[in-house]
Amino acid sequence: MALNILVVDDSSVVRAMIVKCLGLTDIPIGEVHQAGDGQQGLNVLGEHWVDLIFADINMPVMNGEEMIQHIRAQAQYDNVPIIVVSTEGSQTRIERLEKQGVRFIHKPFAPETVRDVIREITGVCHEPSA
Amino acid sequence: MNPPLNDTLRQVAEETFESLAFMFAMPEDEDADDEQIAWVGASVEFVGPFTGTVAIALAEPMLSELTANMVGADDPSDVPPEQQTDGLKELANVVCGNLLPALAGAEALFDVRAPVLLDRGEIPEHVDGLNPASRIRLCLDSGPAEVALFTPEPIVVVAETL
Repeated sequence: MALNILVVDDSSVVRAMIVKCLGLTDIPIGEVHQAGDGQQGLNVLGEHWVDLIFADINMPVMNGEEMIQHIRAQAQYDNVPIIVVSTEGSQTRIERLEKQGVRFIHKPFAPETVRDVIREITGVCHEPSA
Repeated sequence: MNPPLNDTLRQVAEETFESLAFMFAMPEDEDADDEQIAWVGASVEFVGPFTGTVAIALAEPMLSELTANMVGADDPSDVPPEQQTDGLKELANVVCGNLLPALAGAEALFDVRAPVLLDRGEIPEHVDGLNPASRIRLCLDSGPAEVALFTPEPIVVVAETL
């Protein structure tokens, strides 16, 4: 099963880093959508089905926490895996996010970390060719 | 200047350059002439248990390499200018985000603003009338960089280890 993925971050560099990391893993990837803030992320979700969301916290227009609350309020997305990629250092805020079923990856991160977290929360790994 | 604060800022900055952009700290070059350097920089404000600004600047020729390394581009000239400055802002964001818990502990809650480019490239002597609580120079294998923390309150490093 190939994963359709949404990457939400106001930094084009961070989005590029995450997409690059996805390409370095052996996880089958379908469509990769990108958004520059939480509202744009919600707009993408309204138009495309995704299996996994990467999100930043500090973003203009709508921040990551607000976006995640909106996503969790939608029945079709209340269980979609969300990975927050952030420099956030406050354990208080991280625990608050984790209570919403969110996994956390701290910046800076290694591609292996992205791969391992995706495998862990989706159960998807490399599909060997026949 | 505050020696423990300088040490913490240096450690966070060096680790960030290393892990984010594969730029490594070298022994200090005593003969370096910073007067001739064209700088490019970014800063990020934060509010929380204490407020302030983290600023970072590096020699302008390092900018394309910085972002190319971050996004895994083979040729730095392939990185468009707007993405280069985006990489610099992200660098400032990551340094700030890792510095604050190193100073205030993991329970402290800060709001970090969006990073912005420094108007004149170099880190100014004062930000909002404040002297830097800490200002360090890094000698990296790709060139020189400076990092500074401006804050109105005296900072006591409470985190024991990074």
